Amino acid sequence: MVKALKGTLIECDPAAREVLLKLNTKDKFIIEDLDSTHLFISSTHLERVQRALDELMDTNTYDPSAAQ
Amino acid sequence: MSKRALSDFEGSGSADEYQAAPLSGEISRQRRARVTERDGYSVPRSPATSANDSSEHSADDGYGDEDEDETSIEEQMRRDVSSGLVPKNYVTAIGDDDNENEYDVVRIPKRDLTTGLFSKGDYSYLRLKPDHESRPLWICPHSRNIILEAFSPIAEWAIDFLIAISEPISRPTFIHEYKLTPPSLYAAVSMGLDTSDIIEVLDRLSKVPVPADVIETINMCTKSYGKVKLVLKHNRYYVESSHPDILQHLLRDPVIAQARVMPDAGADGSASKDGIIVQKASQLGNLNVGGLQKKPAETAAATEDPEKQPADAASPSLAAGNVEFGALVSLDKEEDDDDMENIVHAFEISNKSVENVRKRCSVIEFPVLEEYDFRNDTINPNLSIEPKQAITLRPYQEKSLNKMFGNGRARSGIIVLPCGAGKTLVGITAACTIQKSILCLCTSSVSVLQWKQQFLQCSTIKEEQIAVFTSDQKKRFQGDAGLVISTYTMVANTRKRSHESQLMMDFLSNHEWGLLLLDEVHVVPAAMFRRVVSNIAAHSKLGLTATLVREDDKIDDLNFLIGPKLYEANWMDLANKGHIATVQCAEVWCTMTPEFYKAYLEETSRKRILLYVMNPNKFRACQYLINFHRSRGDKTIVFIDNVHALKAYAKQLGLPFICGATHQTERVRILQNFQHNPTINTILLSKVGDTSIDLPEATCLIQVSSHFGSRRQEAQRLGRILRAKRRNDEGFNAFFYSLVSKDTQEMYFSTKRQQFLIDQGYSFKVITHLEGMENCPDLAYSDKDSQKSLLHSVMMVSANDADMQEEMPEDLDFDGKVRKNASVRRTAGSLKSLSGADHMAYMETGGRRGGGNGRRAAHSEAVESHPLFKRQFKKK
Repeated sequence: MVKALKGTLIECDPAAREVLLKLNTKDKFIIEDLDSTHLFISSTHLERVQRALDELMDTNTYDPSAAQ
Repeated sequence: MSKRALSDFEGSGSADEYQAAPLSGEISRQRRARVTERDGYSVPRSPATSANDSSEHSADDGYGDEDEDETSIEEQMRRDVSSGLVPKNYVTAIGDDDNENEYDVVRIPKRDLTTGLFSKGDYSYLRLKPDHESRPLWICPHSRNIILEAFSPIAEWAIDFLIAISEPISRPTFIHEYKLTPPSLYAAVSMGLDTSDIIEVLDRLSKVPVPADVIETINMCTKSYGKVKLVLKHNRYYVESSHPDILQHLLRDPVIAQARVMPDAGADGSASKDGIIVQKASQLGNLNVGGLQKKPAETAAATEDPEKQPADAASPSLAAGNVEFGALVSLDKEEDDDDMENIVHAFEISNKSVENVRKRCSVIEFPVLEEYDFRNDTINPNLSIEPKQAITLRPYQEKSLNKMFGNGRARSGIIVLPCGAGKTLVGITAACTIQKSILCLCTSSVSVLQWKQQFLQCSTIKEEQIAVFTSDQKKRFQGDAGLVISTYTMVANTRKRSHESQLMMDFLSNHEWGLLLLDEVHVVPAAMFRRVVSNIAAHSKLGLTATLVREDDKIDDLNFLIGPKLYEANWMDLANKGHIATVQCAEVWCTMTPEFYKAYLEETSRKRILLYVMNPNKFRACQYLINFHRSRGDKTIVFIDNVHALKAYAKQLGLPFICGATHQTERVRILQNFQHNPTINTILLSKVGDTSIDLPEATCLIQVSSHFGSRRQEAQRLGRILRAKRRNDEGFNAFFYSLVSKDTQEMYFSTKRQQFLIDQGYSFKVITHLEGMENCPDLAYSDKDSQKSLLHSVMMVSANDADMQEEMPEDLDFDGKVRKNASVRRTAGSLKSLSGADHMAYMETGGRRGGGNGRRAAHSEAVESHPLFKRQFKKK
């Protein structure tokens, strides 16, 4: 019996991959860990994962106009 | 996947969306409503108002062209005013439809899709003058900011003017920003500019008519300036004015009334010397005629005055006679060089509350003028000190001193010059101008000696006139007047002192000083300053610094403790003229290796620092840059804040390092080697090297780790290479690299740190990839194995050590030997760290096994047997 899963192929740099792997420990969404720059994840989680990644990047970004 | 790299892209994407929006009428209007609402102009749009939308477009095209637009314009104006977009007073102007004066007319703000992005900063309602293109300034209402187009042909002239009347905020290459502040306007007035001049020139330079509120500010500041003076006489502070009504006004203020000191004590003091009591009595008599009803009871003055305030405010002219005058000591002013009347009124305030009174006075818009008329000061003995003939001031040094002595009197304040631009000379020249007793305070005992040397070198002062007051030297000067050089900590010390230093301290606090020179003012905590300022009676104070920024808000305190910023040099300008070196700044992004990043994500914040500092890619980048600059013949300083990382880097690279624990003799040896030994091209420094280390040989600087987001540290570090010896060589550039691990907090801190230098006109290039790094096979940590063992050793370090940022008071200097020994540090540590096994990962010693991988091999080279054991090994 063939089982089909709908997923999204993610291409990212190694650092983002680490973030995704870390997120995956809490809530499994990675279907297949392909290589150091590619992941195959379940499409239903895509938006959430994107948001989490954005948030993390935001904390590492300094915005001088916001500081004033 | 950096946010910063992406942001541009995202920005253009969303702009496209907005641009596409207004294509069809109905949809566009809805969009528009949504956009404006989201951005805070929540104008409820009833169907009726939205019907006006069609005419809104024509209103955009040009106001006043079509009469039928009248209603919609007014409608929109009303909305704009209620939403705070347009200041209220501009509405009156809208009524004069056919106003002749083109400058008075206000334009309806253009409402387009970007309007919401500007919120309060939308000044599109200001009308441009017809010939605006040839004028270089924009003046913003409310904020009183002035934007200058620095590329304009008359910019240089405009800058001179703006420097005189305002404070520089930011000065990149093409657009400068200045701000009109009360202190800067006071300074302008005392330089001889008057209100109408300022407004006229501003108007001539400005693209838009000078906004009404800016004119009002200028008027207010320039008119009230100089009415009230704070005078130091015989170690007592007096508030003086030739306008008695102003003093009454001040005394009605509860804060000032409390600060006041009973006149009997004060009057006696001054009476004995000047015979003022007579003056005062007669003066009192004159004034009392007006109808003084109460006895001058001071306590009553303090308590009752506030209650009387409402009535007084209602009829100020009446009140003038009513408020008691008993406490006002009237003094006969000796000099009458200006048009002031001969009689000056004054009341005394206590030494401790000087700062509060000063603050309060500027709040109620009677800023006190603190100027020292040193030429007419006959009470304090003169000090014979002249600058030496050979010393010439650079133009900007002269300019800064002009600001201080603009009208022949000494004004207190702060002069900001970049590191290496000759702050010391400015201080010495100021001292030579005042020629009274001088107290000079600096941050460390080493700078004390440096100042003394400079004084002897640049001025005619004799050695016996200089006294040094440090923990190991307590000498006094000979004669009535002299120079004392000391440190902040010595003077502000509250603990018990030795007998000798107590004597010296008494001498300092009983003496009246002509000038208090404060070196590196930015480093000293406000509390310490308060103690210094309240201990020492000085007629004028001059603060010197390179970086007037702090991450806390303590900078504002300096404004009242010392004085306003008198002058701030333009770094770029000095670099162009060759006074300081031209520096190329670069931020090098180093990707985290996956293993390190995984660990980074899992670790707590303290350990994270060590992980992003020890990132193998960063290490390689650092090594690559060191090698690259060594081959170019540069001398390089590498800054690593984290002591653990510092040691690891030094070990791996085989380079000398200096940190807080390094012994004095060792430091001197390393520094001398760096300066004179051609084979030592690179040294590693921890935080101790940030300030007051003078290495003119250094031409390249690599910053590996730093103290979070401290803008000051970044600027101070840059200062290490600004005085590069080779700066005047043709096409010479110094290099400043900041290594940043990508996708970590370091990115945030790094951008924040750069803000001060960016404001000074420096631009940071971002290097995402170092060209040719792959072709250097000899770089460390090139394979996964060595990277993993590095990670392992990093993880072995206890959290305490990872956090080893070197606790060091900011005022501690490079050679803070004395205080370092005196203080005992108590830290909690694990048993492991106490037994000294802390930094140890398992490690092979002795080269007998043969180098397994790169890291081990490096260790085996470094390990050397003690002579005692060598014999043992030989025996084997």
